Amino acid sequence: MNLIDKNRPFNFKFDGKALQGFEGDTLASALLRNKIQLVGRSFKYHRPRGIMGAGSEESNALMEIHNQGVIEPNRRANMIKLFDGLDVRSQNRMPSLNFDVMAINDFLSPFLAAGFYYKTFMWPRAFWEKLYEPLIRNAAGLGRLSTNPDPDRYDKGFLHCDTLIIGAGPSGLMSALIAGRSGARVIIADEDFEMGGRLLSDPQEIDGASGYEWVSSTLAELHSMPNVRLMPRTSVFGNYDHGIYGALEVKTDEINAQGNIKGARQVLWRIYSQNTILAAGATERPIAFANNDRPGIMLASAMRTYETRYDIDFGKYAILSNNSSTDKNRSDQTIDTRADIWIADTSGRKGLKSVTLNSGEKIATNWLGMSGGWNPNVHLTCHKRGRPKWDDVNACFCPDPNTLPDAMQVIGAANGEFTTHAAFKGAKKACANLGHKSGKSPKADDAPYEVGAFWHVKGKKRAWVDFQNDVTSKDIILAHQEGFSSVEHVKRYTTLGMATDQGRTSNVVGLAVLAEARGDSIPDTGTTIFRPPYTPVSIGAFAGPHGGQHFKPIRKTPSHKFAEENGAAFVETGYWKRASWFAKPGEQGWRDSVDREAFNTRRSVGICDVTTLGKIDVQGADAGKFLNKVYANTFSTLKVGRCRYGLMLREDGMAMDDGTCARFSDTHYVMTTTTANAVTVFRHLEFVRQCLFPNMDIHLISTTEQWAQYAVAGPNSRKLLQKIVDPEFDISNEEFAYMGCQKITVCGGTRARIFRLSFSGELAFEIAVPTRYGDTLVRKLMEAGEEFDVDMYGTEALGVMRIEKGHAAGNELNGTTTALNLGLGGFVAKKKDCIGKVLSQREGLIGDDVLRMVGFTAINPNDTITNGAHFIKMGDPKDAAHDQGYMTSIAYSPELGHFIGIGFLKGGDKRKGEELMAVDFVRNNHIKVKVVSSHFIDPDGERLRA
Amino acid sequence: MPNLKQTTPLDGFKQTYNGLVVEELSGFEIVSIALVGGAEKAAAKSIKTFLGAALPKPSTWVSGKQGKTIWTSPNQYFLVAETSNDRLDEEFAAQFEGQAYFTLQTDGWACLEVSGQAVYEVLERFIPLDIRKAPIGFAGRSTAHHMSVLILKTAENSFILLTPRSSSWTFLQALEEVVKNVN
Repeated sequence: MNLIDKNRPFNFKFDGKALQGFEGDTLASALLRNKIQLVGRSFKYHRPRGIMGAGSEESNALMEIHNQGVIEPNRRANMIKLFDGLDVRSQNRMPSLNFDVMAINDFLSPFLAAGFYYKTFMWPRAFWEKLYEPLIRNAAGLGRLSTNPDPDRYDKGFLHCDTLIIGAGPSGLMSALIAGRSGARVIIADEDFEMGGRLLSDPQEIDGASGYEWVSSTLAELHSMPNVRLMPRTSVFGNYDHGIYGALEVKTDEINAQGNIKGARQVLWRIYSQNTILAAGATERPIAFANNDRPGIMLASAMRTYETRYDIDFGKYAILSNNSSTDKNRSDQTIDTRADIWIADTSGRKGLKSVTLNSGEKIATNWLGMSGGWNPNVHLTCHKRGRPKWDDVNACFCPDPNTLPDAMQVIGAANGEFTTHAAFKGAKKACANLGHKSGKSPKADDAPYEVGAFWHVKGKKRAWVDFQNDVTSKDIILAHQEGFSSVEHVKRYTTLGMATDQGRTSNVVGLAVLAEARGDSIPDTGTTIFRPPYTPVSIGAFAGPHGGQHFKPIRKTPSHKFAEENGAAFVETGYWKRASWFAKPGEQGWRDSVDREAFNTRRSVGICDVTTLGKIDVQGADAGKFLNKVYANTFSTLKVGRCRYGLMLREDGMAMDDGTCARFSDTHYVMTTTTANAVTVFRHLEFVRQCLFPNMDIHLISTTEQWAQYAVAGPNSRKLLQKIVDPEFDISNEEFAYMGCQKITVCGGTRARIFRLSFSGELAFEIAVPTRYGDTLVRKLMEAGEEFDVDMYGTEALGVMRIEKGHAAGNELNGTTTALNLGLGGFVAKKKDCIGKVLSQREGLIGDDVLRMVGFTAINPNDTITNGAHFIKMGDPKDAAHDQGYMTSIAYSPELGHFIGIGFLKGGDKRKGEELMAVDFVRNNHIKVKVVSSHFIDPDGERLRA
Repeated sequence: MPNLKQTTPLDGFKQTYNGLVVEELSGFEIVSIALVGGAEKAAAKSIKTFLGAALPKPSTWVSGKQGKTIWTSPNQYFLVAETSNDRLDEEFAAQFEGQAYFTLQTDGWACLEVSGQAVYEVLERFIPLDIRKAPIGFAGRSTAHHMSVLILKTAENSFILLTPRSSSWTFLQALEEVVKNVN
């Protein structure tokens, strides 16, 4: 029973040649249908290669899918479901598949054995980097990457189930049926686009009917169950912690170059399962004999699949086998190694012509199926460090029940039980273990699987073990001779199993060859470690939808639209888009705007959106006590209606963040944090609340987004605000002094909060309204401020003014500075304990010579101070040994007419007036500076208290 | 001077897709309720009388006289009240002094209703929670495309998503991207 619909032909191109296949074909079967044997070139020797398998184990038939300049390389022909218009090209050949000049490597093979690049190209030494390495790199690799953007959509998702069944062959389908009937939530996934596994390929009967009929009726029943999700074309590629599996679902192989494909091309699923049944089947392995890689030589089971499922006629063909599974092949001649006959050599460079037996007999044939036995697909049992165990009877590695991942059961061929009867039995048992009862299993094939271990034919000619990476049995023996006897070393020295097929067909054969060379058994030789992914996953799928604008969130303040309308240039801070400056017509560059904004604020009034500052509601009977712990200074004594500057330390004593904290009632404080640290501080507070002081009555909630907040700064700020604040609230200096806070209403009754705070050093206020009013409030403020020539100012002007005032900010709170460094040593209250207090007193963090924050001006006023410059005493060498500190923040001060800076200087508080070199090797700017107070403007604070 | 005009986070967004309707909800007030440490039982009792429903258990929401109450963390809840009174937090604070603390949260969140036949197909690509199994009355805190989300199941094919206001446009665009990917 084939699954090809010949009423639905598809046209496709292979290397530009127009061909036809049918619905139900893979690209591989369609190529075989068109009698194409040569489909690719090998990695190193550029040997002609044909299709080897019928599934994801394929080593040879790697293709590029093309569409209008977009290329997807290294796709296995057996995993591409044929579609109309498919354009595929062979890869790793120059100039053509039929004539590849790089095939010269095949004739140079004596010089290109395992590890050749460690032994050759040694002389002349200088040639390595400039000549040899580029040459080798140019020759290496398989398919080409397109340099065009990927036009396709990729997505990610999350699925949950009671039971994840991996593989939809007889054991997987039977498990799904039993678990599904019992009401469990089941996901059954299979990498093939048709479910059924080997029942689609092997001629056999189940309950007297064909295996395919059983598959059809089972799938029909599963489809009718709402609790069962069937996921064809889905490769479960990795097993992770807590029953989580990674799976890649392929929706289509078409490339969306024309923009006509809807939906995601691939979906990367994270599957959360309570338990898992691994029914991933087994992979047939080849036998290593001389020239076993010719086009026309493939796995015996693959030939069966192409004949049965895809209706491919190979004509007469031979089989080389060491086991009973090939009894199901329709071959004309079986060469059974168990009868001491094997293949000594083959002929036919671009397509098999004949095989020569060890007896000397020559058999003319264009196709040969080979079977060296079966390897259970144990990979997913090993992703969490499980190790398989050797099964002598079946000559294969099987899952070790003692090292399986939690809640995983393995059944069927994946467990080394190769008959359909055993598959059903395993399914029944696994489901019973999960509490799902089932009736009698259908009657199925139970012919025993017999294998006589036969791995490779010794000889002088090359016999391929790893077809994709061109590793031969000679390479493995050579590696052993050269001292690389550990399986892990052999793997890396020869690249055995390191190709995109991850050694699916080569690993065990390679181990056997190595074991023989070592004179050891296979289990004693050991295995390499299987890691995710089981099959290749495109980087696009890992990225999913998170590209371009979806790479990260953008946070906008309520005045964002207003800012855009007014020429704002934005900077990103903690995902927020903050206005850096507001360009006005005629301004030549950002400095013009920033100088104007800073100057105008100091002269009259400016408005800055400070919504982005973190705001945290701290409520509870123990709020004061709690804040005393998290802040270096004391807050329990803060009066209601007042604000206080607070400095927060990390446990290691370094400054963590700073801000103000306002008290609105005995049990209610509002903390502000810096924009960038809002999340970090909230997380820290939650840790302190939940873990350090769980008995305190404290509740925290972020109100950052609840309130739109604007700083209104400058000598006319009060006059402006008096036009906005409702008249019953008095904000005069007498009634609302510096560092006051109160709840008010604005604009005729809108609830608001006002804080008398200043970051600029000017008379200033911060006014907050519920965010829903943020956009209209800023417009009202600007309207009300027209008579004062009000300007918006951005973060750059804010930065200029805070440097002029000598306030520390992010550059100074850089994670390496203490309160003492910042000139805030007195803030660490002596009478109480706080987080970070003890460790802030460590040796090396205290003393006269520690870094202290001070100001700097250039001795030559025309010099530009640069931030990051290091201070060196006059005359000292400009090196790290003579480093005296570093500049953290600089600005051009429009108020002072020259550059100013603040930074950290050893013992800086006692060095005012000293002249130093500010050395900046990055910008090559070394200038003389003078140490001054960091308070460049209004050092006595008269303006802000006005 | 006239009162200030309100704006909603997503300008009243409403869009119908193939099998899905996405609509911004507004016209309510959200107040967080935090029970005073040591007075939890008494507070829960008096708030139950006020709400007409017991405070919800973890991962659930309940409907009461005032609106929906959502469990958000131990001893903390959101009341989504069907009112336009933006001083609800202050009024509650006076009413339940010594029993609970209240914080206005309306403006911190954008609220989207997502409903229709395709809702599960879309949300399973957006939110990691097991929403297919979730009963009506389910409330979960999670993330969607790295953004916070509070999800409520309100009917068989209908969910409410609350997400921080500042990133709500990115959230909406991400949701639309998923809708395109599913279609």
